[in-house]
Amino acid sequence: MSSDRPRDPKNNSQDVVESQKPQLNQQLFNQETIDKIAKLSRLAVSDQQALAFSQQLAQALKHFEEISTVETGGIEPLITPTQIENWTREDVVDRGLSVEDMMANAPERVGNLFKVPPVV
Amino acid sequence: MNPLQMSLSEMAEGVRQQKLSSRDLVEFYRGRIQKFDKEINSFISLNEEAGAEASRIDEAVKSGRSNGRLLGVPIGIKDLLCTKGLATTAGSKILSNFIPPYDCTVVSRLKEEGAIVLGKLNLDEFAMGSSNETSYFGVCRNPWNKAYVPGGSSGGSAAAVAMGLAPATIGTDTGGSIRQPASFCGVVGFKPTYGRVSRYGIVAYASSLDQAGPMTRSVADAALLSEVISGQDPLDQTTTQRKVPTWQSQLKADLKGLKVGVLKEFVTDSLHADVKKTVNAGIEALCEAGAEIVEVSVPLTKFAVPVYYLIAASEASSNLARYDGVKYGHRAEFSSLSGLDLETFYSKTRGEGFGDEVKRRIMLGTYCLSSGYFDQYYTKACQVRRLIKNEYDSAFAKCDVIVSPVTTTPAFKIGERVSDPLQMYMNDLFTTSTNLAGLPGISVPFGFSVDRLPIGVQLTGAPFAEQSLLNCASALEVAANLKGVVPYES
Repeated sequence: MSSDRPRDPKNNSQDVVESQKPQLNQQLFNQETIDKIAKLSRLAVSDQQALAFSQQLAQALKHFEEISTVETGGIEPLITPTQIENWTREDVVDRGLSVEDMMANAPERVGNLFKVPPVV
Repeated sequence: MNPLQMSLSEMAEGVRQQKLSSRDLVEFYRGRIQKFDKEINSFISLNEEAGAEASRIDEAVKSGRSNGRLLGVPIGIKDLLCTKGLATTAGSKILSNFIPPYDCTVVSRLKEEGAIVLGKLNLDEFAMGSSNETSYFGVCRNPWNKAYVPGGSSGGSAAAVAMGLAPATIGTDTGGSIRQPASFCGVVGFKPTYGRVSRYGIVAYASSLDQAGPMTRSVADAALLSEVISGQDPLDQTTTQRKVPTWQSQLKADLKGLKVGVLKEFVTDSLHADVKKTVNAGIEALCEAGAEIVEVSVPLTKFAVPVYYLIAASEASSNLARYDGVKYGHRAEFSSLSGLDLETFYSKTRGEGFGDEVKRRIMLGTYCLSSGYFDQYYTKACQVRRLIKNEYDSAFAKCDVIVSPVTTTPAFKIGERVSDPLQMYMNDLFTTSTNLAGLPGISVPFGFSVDRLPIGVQLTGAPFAEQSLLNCASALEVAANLKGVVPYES
């Protein structure tokens, strides 16, 4: 596994001996692809999960690729199933949720601010 | 009066006329939950204020202030719908400590009609599953046979109604999540047309497919609950401005003048013999009720599962990006935030908070939406989606309602398909196309397998033509004559 991928703390990858190392599906979801998607998805994935996902997703996607046989030239993609009805409402001020309501579920807070790691 | 044999209207009327109290109704169902739900595990949490809320309604009735089509009636809510002050978990660790500061529109509307939230019901994590096995709060069991799944994702909502732990419940349906568990548990499950019911305050899975609906003991109850929760909502721009019809009062089981289309594609290799037999008996019943039977074809339904999973996973990967451990929900433990890399913060939090099925779908969706694959998977799936909708439009030019199976098989055993996601996904063959085309769909209990597991018949309607659909459902209900056939001693 690449070293830059965040690891699930519950999974100790050092326990995986060389011979038992996951054999990732080489065609669709190789190690590089799984690493890339996990990173894009902001998901820590254990070695064990990576192996299982690689096989399961490859199998599913192989099946899903059946749709490539459907002729779709010039067809407008359907994004939402019913016709969008455009309607407006009066632009009036309404009472929203209080700051305390909005902050009540915060995992960590400092006053009325959400506490996060440094972002700049 | 036995609350297990009363319709929702009868209960509300009973409370209004002080023939029974809302408090007694709540206590009755809480008593049954206490007695039976240890084994079934349909509820994730109970509303501890339900009794007090019921008493307030009873007091209001005594002082002459009593309105509401659901006056004093306890209703179970799938734990995907936000309830003010009541934990809403979506069946996930990542939301296990989340207490919404507001009600979703569906729950607000139920409360406006006098309903009482009885508790929050088990589901597959983020509604991603067909068996209720992906819930962080443990599997829910099928009341008809506890070795079997109740279906999913609204497994708890179906099982609770089947077991008589709630008079009715609300579920949500993204690819069959109301209709499939309704079929597996022998209850009525109705998904109205996309746009009928507001999605505001419902934890989003795939926004262009999600729709809430009732799970009930009867078609009339489903019609009433749908009337209550439907209608335009300024908080959800996809809701329709169309007036909500009075479905319940217009219900009739006489189908003269209606054309019912039999889906040519319904007989597949994977179709279980008992399901086939039940659907054929259903078609006969619709015919006897006066409907004209015609054959219709929607050939692209064979691609519905791939199209559904590609689109749903793509939308999910975007919708679930909000769970970042900042504003609410689970956050991984870090000794110090200073100097911590933001990506590690997100990845560890999300890696701990989401279960495997949710991770699989987020990753599938991320892959489909990623540069280089977008057109091949997402755009292509959306194009086939339009073709499926076009085929349905042609089919509904020939008929009013389409009849088909709900699933290929009756309920399966717990654990049987859990390690094979593709096999689990294929179970959704007959339900997903309804969501892709935004159509209303209903599952009506119609028979049993040789193993004594319920089997439903699915009806699909044209957009916003719910009345014809409900009337056909009513005819099936009359013909099935299953009232009083329950998985517990009555």
